[in-house]
Amino acid sequence: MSAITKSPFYENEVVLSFFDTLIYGRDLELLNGNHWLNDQIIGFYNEYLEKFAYADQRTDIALVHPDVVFACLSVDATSAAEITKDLKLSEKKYVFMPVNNNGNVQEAGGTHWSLLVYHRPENSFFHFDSWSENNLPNARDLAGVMGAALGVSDKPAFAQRRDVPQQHNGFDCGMYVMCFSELLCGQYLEDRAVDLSDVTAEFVARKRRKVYDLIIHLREIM
Amino acid sequence: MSDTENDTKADIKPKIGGGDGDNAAIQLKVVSAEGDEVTFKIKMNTTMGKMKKGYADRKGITNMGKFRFQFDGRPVQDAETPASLGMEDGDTIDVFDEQIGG
Repeated sequence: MSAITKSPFYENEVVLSFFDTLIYGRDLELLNGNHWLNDQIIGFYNEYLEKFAYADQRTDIALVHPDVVFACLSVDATSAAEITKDLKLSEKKYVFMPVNNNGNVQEAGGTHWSLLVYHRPENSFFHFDSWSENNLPNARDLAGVMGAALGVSDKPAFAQRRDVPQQHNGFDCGMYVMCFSELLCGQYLEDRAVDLSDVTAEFVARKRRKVYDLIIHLREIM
Repeated sequence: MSDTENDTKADIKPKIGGGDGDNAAIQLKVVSAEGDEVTFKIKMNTTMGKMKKGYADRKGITNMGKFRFQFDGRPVQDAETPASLGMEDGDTIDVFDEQIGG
């Protein structure tokens, strides 16, 4: 997707205050064109799905903010449970955690996003990565540290999902994470038959524009 | 943000507060993932946005979008204050880099 026009917001202007997320002009601009996405945009969409789109099923799901995921990755299991205690993850059936490879790479801030889901009915972690197994080490580290926070008794299984659509460019990984989270919420919570292969390059490009428009829409109604 | 440089400097003072009633100053530590610590003495009603600016000044960070404050595992909003967050003297704020990926 190419940028249609420059956003009508200043870099440091608050575009939207949405629960725990503050979207500035510079964050919104990441959606306007083929840019890498940051923790604020992914955190916003997680909050939108959990507290807005699926608000009536909040007791079953948690979509954890990427900043909280990162904080958990930098501490031990006991501290991760302490950090997340208000999220009541041990009561949720499905827990979505965006994974960044920040820490395993030299570049500050990371280069790639993927999605780790804890599926309580199957006591399993599933890792969805649109770039082969790029974030597998980070996802394994995260699964290793979240046990106490998730309140698991038996050690959960861990599976790298093989049916994951792959990105064909170097900028959409964050969009893939958001698309996977949304479709999987539909599958888990509404028993909808979901085919992840629906997440094509065109689907992702349309979603990028839709999320941009969603933020503008929420700004107008909230 | 409409805060000016002057506002920032006026509210974040490195001196010990004398306990001026409900708006006494508390000491907060900002700790990075690498373990660097910066200490602030701020009033209970000073916004976190101002404290972030003070942190950026001290660390020589020019882009405010490149770091995040977290308190008790929650992202901290610019408009929040020590009072609204229930902070106490000696509490720690964690600071993390912006995370990005493509």
